[in-house]
Amino acid sequence: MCMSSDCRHFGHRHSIQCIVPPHMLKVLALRGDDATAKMAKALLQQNEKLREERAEQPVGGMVAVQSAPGVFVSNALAAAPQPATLKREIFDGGQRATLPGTRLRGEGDPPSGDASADAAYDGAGDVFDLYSAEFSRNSLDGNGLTLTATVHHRRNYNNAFWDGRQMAYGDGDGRIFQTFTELSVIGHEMTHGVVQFSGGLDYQGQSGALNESIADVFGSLVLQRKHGQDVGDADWLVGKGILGPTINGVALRSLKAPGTAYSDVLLGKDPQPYHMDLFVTTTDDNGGVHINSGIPNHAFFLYCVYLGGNAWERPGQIWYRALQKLNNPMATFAEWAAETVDAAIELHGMGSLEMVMLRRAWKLVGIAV
Amino acid sequence: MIVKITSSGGLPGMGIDKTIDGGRLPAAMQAKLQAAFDPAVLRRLEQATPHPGAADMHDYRVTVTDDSGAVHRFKLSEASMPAETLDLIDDL
Repeated sequence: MCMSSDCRHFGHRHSIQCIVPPHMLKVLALRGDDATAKMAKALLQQNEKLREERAEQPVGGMVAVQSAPGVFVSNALAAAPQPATLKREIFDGGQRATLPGTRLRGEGDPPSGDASADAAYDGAGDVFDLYSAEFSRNSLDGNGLTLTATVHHRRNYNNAFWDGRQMAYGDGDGRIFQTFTELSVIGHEMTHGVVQFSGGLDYQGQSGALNESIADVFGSLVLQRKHGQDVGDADWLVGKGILGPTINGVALRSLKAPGTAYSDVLLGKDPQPYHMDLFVTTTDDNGGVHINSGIPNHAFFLYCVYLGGNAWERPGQIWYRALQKLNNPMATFAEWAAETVDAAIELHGMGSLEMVMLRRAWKLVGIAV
Repeated sequence: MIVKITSSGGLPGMGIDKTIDGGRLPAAMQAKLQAAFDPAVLRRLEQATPHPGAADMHDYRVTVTDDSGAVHRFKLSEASMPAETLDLIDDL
């Protein structure tokens, strides 16, 4: 995972820590001169601490397929089908940063009367239902993980996130954003959990933009399925209605027309590209993860239009299967595209309409598969 | 102490940009600012490991100009910042 030159994405800066494996450090600690041995021991201690920290963190893994050497799938795909076990816990953050906050509503409780909390509760149920009914996945981890969400997170907070364990939704500042408990946003955040428990995609550069794109795709799918919209009926917007009342825009992002969701004096223009020729190189936003996600987003949209019908059916199945079989946290757009084509072949056959149209969709955004 | 805070990322891919002049704050708030943005504290936070699965959280770039005029720069993940510090950023 440590591909960057200074490894800052894991919060540590010894480049040697990423390059030299522990067994070499042990030899250096034994045989090096005083300074080398001291450095090696210090790095071994840091490695150990890092391992302990990671061991405490719930991160999904991949398991080997016994019948196919070298092939890995997610735990959720490998496990025997489980009965759906929906359990939601919604907390009030009280506009402070401490998580999770004060418990507002648990599974089966009547509505709390707090509009954000009830939207987070209902939305979590809709997302759970999409993954359970369409993809036979029991919650975000495939193993019945409790869906924990905090609403009213921080003050005037223009954001929502998945922190690795739970969702958190700000209220917005009322000017630029007015809510974050909209269904496609809830689906987006919860899908980051699914990505995490499906082997993960490093949140940097192209793999980070894929992480974002997959979250947008399934955020849009949960909305389309909830409203019974086919490919033609859907608006393909993520975060519709969450912008402030005076903002010139319709949503946060558009899968149909990346770069057109808003154009405003306060917000500027939606920066998303729709083609590799327009790929944005930046150090901000973890290498533009929320920007370049427009490219795979648009490929998904084009593919859905080619196939017609309900996007959560054939296209959704292919995207989901590709995610469960992608054993590459550093995947590039091209590698992800190839994985989706493999999934299309697996589900529909070599030379199938589903495979041919998928290759065409990727080609249209500048990615040859 | 002067603290400049910018952020990027988050679900909307946009952030904040604010500068706090500690000298203009009431004494109690000034003490909170000094404690939260002590360069030694921020240096330690910078080493913290954010959850590898976390997404849509902000990245903060913090520039602290201490009372001697020395400038200290940090890049911090929202995930690794104490809730009290985040509340202070929101309150100021």
